[in-house]
Amino acid sequence: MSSLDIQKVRASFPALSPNSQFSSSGVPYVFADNAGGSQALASVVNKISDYLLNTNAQFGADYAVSKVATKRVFEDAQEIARLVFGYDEGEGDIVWGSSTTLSLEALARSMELGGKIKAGDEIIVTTEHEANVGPWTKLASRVGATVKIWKHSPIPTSTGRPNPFSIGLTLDSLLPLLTPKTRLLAFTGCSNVLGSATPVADIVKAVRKKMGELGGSLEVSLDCVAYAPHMKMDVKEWDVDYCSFSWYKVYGPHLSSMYIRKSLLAAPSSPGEPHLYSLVHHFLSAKPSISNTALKLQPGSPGYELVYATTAVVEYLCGLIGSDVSLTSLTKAFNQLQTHDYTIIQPLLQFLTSEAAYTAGVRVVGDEALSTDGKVKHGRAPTVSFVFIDSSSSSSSSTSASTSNKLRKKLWSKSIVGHVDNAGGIGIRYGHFYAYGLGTSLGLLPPQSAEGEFKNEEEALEASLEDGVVRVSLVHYNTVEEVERIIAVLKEALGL
Amino acid sequence: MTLANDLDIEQTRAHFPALRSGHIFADNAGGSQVPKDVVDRISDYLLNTNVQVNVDYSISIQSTQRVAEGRAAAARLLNAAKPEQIILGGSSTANMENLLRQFDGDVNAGDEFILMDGEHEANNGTWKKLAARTGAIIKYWHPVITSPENPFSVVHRVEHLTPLITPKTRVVAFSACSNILGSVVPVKEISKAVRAEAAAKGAQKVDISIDAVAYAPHRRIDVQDWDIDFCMLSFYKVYGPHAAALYVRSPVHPSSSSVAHELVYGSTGILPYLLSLTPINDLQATFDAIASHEKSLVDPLLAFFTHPEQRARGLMIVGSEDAHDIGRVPTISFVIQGENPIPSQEIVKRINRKGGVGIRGYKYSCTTEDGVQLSLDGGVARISLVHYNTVEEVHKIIEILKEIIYT
Repeated sequence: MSSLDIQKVRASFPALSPNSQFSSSGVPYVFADNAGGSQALASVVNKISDYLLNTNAQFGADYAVSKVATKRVFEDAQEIARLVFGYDEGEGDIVWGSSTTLSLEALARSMELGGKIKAGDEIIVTTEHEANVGPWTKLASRVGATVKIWKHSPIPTSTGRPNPFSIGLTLDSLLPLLTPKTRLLAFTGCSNVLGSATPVADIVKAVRKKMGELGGSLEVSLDCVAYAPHMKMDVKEWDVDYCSFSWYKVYGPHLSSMYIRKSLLAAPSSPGEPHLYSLVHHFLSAKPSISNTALKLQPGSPGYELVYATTAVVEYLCGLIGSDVSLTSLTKAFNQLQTHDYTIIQPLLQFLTSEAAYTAGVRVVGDEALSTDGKVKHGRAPTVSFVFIDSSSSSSSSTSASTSNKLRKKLWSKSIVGHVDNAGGIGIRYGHFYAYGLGTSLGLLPPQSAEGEFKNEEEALEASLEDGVVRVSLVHYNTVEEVERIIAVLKEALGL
Repeated sequence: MTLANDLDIEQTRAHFPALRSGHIFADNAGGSQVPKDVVDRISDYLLNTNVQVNVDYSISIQSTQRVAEGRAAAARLLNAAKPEQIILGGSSTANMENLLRQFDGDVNAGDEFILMDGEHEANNGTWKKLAARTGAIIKYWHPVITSPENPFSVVHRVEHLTPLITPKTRVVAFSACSNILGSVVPVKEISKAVRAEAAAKGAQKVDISIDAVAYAPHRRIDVQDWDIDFCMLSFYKVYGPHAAALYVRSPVHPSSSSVAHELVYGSTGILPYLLSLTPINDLQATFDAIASHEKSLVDPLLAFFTHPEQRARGLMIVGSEDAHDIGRVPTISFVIQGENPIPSQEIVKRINRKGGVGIRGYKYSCTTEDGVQLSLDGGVARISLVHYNTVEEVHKIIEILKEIIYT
């Protein structure tokens, strides 16, 4: 398979041009906080403008401009989204929204009002990003359902050296949580902090099998926000019921799409039957074209100019392998992206897990993901988080993140990022990144130098949680040269 | 005589590339066209400041500032006292859905909401949903027929609103201008009357919620002068992108709504565009000039529809026929009934099929103060213009109407 044409890639993003306002003396800025939002394609920007200047009319009317507008949004963009999620025609539908958080909140409300989750039911969430956690915990609290947490487990390190932050979601800690009352499982396709793809198909298969044995059934809500920029989604293979992502992290505009399994959208056939309740104006709800479709979860319309612009993202990706838009070409394109991603994070992972870095106190937060032959493990996204600990603080031989709350940071993550920021030309970030529960479970104390600033250990842990981890998050337009620059600056920041 | 503060129609239209095609945009109540500067700002955001907001690094400071500018600009458009009183969202419907959640616990069973009969669901629907959840009761403010020759010449008057107020009134929600009837209602006067009546009758807390979506393209909003609690604004109807602002006089929680940052920054182009329409660089001057130009669009249309020939043919405006009312905006809804009726959907089809112009049909129903339900089963046909439309375009529309009615 031919490899990514990095020149062609970077030329598609004006922000990466040597002349962009981000560049300094002709040197492009190194965008390494892509998990917070990627740069946008020129073609996306052009399509937004094209829509607003040429086809900006209300839908459903039979004059020409309205017809084009209708087609662009309801047909073209809808079809593109189908390819992106990977479902067969007629098997799914898309909710377009301002954000994944809001769309999941709408889904939770719809499930509540439609009687799908009731008092005594159980919901399983993780400690990952709040978008696919908060709406469910709030729903549970409103209706009197029980929340269970699928916690992360230790996973083997690459080097064999102990690392209490080498953690991930594993099936064996999930299955025992299932009971006949479990109605919903909400987890992530890839962590925005830990950066590893979850084996979704295997997990869902095992979960559905167990639920069958228990005499119950559940629905699965998958958060693919941190997955979608790097790997091809496949809701059909995964057998999930709801799948969400945000286009602004996938080279596009600030808009979200949520896949819903078509059969779940059916209006109730008898009163009292649990269903997805319509959130839209009552006179619209009466129409089958609304009451049986994702439109019932979209109160008010999404920005049409943005919906239309998403088509540019898929055209770009398929264009990378010189193809027209199709499921096959999109899949091939993502394979190319993924191969490139492994190439760029390999040096970073190698650096962060090196003897020198380890001795100084660097610990990768997540899967160190290097095989014995030095290659990056399959499913590792180019999102790498780490902390810098004082390895002389106790419990450094502990392998369980959740019990080692006496470990201390050597440097604030903020100060490491500050050093990088001061060096100029590179953007990375620190924090908990809204994976609040995950951050809490790391249980790190602030650096020794900050000892006297806090009233008690609780306050100290809180401050350390806010400080979180250092995160370097790349995408396919980043280069090995950029990563080498990042490593060089990090070495300085860490005193290596 | 051309006044110095009259609109320069050529200069105005030059801001809108979409108008170059010569197509007559006559469904502006469904969404207006967008000035180039607004589009350029969206592009600028995505190309030059597209990073996570509220983060330390320098580019984020710029993007954060641009989003803040969006709120500040919306505050100016609405004349809100503080940007903190503005919630930005993807749509007015979504904003109201969000607002609804702030009311949990603040409404009791038996509380009364007064809504404007016949008005847009973004406002009415929100309060109906809240009433269904809380056991509050809905009462309707009905319009009256104003022309003896036209049973659809309905207008809402404040004297039919105030008697509806009781000690249990909790919310009064209405449109500053109907997207169908096209008449501005005197919001300030109504707000004052409502509050006086509420005080006299001992109503504890009355929130006034205004739908300014169909009003905003035509007249200046002033939430402080109006003394109201909520006000909805959809940017895509007032020369902006598909995003919306909601004014909340006393925000309970920090805003939890979400909206595309590039569209927020795009919306900052609306205010400079409006201010540029007269040399005075003042919103009131702009909207005075707009009102004056709109009158030149409304007058020929009203004259056409109220002409005895058209009356005999069964053409009837749904809304006020009064040409003296400066609050009559160029949103003209109508039906063709009488001996040879043409269903509204058919009217719309025939007009649009002519090519070169686009209008739309709309469902509408309401009951008058006297209890008469307007018989509008097939809905209305609606011509909705704004200040970039021209008198020539109006005459063309009238010619097309004549063709489809009389041939």
